[in-house]
Amino acid sequence: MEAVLFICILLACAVATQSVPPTIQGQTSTRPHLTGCFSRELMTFRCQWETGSLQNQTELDDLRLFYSLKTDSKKWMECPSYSSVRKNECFFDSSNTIIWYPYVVQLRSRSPDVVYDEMSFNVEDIVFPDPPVGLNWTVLSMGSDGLIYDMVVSWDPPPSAAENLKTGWILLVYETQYREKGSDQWNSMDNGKDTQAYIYGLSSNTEYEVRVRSKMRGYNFGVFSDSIFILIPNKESRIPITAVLVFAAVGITIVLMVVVVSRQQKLMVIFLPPVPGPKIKGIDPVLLQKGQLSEFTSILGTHPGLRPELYSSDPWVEFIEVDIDEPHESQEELLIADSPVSDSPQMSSSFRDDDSGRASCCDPDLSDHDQTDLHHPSASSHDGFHPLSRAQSGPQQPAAVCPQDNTWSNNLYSQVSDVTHRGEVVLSPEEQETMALKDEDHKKRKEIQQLVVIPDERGYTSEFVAGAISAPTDQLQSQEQHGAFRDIQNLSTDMVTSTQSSAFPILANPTSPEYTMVDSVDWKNSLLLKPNTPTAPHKAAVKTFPTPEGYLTPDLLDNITP
Amino acid sequence: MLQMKNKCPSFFLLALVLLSVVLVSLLVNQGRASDNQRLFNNVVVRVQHLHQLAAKMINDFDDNLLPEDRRLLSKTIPMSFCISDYIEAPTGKDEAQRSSSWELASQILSRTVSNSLTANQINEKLADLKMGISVLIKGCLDGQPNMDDNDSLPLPFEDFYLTTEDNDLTKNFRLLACFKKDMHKVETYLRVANCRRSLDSNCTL
Repeated sequence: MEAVLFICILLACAVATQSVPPTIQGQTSTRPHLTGCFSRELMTFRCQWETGSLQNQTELDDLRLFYSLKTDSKKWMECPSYSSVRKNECFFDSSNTIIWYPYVVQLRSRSPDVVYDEMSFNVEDIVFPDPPVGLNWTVLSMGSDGLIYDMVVSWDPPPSAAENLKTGWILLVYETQYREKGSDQWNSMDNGKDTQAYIYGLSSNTEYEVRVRSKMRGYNFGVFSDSIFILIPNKESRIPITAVLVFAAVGITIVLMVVVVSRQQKLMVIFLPPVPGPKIKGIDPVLLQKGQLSEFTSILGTHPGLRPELYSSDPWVEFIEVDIDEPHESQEELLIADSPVSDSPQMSSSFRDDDSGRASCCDPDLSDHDQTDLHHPSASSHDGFHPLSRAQSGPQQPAAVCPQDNTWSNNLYSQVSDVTHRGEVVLSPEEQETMALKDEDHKKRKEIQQLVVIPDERGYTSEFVAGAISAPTDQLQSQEQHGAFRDIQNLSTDMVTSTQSSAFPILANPTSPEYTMVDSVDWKNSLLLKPNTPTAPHKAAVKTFPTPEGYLTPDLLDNITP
Repeated sequence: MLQMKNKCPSFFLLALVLLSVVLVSLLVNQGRASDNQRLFNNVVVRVQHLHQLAAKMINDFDDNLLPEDRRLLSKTIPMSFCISDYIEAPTGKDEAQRSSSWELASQILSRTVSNSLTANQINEKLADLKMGISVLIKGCLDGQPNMDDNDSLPLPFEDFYLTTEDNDLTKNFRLLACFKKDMHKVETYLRVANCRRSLDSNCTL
């Protein structure tokens, strides 16, 4: 029983060992065995074997490889060419390679004709294409912050299969794998027939490993190519961007500062426009408060037509045009304002109140030429400036100081040096004249003939008149230039009556020097006349002349009017 | 899988018929240009799809095999043949480029094509392939090639796979393997032919 059992066990073992096909089960380490047959391009293939632990050299040399194509015929052929470059390899060239046919390969020993190993396959099943070559990569796009980028990896087909690829005999598809360095997990991508792969969403500052392998579609993969390592450093574009922004902001700020500083005045005006003072027609209250009536009178004492600097095209100022087409009309009509009679301190319509507000803030030097006759007691029907209005002159005679004799021709103006509290005019040349008169009436008169003409009841006089009747002597001219006309509210006729003449010699002497234009009024309340100014620009403006006793008769006007 | 027994040989026969006709037509008339080229590309693409389908089918089959069954199959399958082995067709690159033997194959196959088509995805694809190739033939060649030659080669067709002594598992596996191999064959032939007639030096279909 035991022996039978032992025999049965042995048989079972024998059967078990025999049932194992030699091609599947690994051989014992001592036996030579086939390691594998593989093809690269579906045209040729090679088979390799190992000698194992075979010690006997002769047996090693006797190893032969036999193959058969058709199992039914069992025609065994020996290896067409044993490889010379490598030991234990048999190479089947294209003529000996039949695709889609089953091969049977056996490893035999010559002398005892022992079959060490056997293998059967179809050539297309043992195709293991070579790995692609020439891997290179290109950055496809980079994120704005430089952290994420896309990449394209391209390669070339394996050189061994290149020719077959061109003829269409073999078709290779590729697979790409990539992973972060240090990671064990590969990311696989099937690229198909394309020899490039797009990899998206890679991080910068991370090293990646990429490798590619190829296979014949439907069959086996080849070995992987050599890995390439890709590392894109993070350019840290954030910092430069912020620095650039900071510098830009600083630069813009500096430029703005420079602009503001350079154009401070204009900017101040733009952003903080000057607030105009109260627009009061006729009077600058500041000057009134200061008591500088001289400022007023110096300006107001002149004919409105002879105050070019005071005139302006300020739209604020009401300006009523005076109709001067009819010289025959009464003179009071010429300059009579259209405004109704009122005691209100209305501004002279003939004046141009061009600086009612400005004088107080911006141009302090500019005299306020507004009408100051607010408190004129006379209820005149006109509020215009009538240098020689005979109608309204009324009781008040213009305090015209002029020599009575006809020889008196030129210097009819004198400078009012001061106005007393009573309203009396203190004339500097008058004093001289008076002194001269006192000394020598006639002589002085002839020489120094000055006239302070205050034809109007308000005490205004015309510079034009003054210029017309003034003598062109140096002294007188100088005084004439400095002649000032004041608005005298209450002129006492005491001073003037002495030298008052009933007639203005200018009327008899039309050849007196031309009129001059008042250039400005200086701080001394004296008129600064423009030198050698022709009378032409003013001829049209001036229409009236001082009449005898302050009145201008129409017939006189005819003689005078140019 | 029994359906495969009927269809696998017919698949290959049909494909070879169409294939050889196409090749003949290509040889005779290579003047038709873009139209035929487009059709040819279409045919090649369809064959590639069929090959991929066959490969997937056999891979699925193989994945589901039990280890002992796999061992068994590996022992027996290499000794089996497909019906296409009996049809003379180019087996190497040089032969494929010459394409002189394909006409004979087409003539043989034209006589032996059997239609056992049933509603099946593969059958539909094969039908489309056949239609495409027939259109291509009409464009390339005037009429069909003469396939009325008598051939002495015995061609066991539909009974080939049924008469084997394999079990069902083996038969199914053989059918799938043969289908895949045949599709690969046809794809290779068509691709080579298309590349040869196209003027591109670098043919990567």
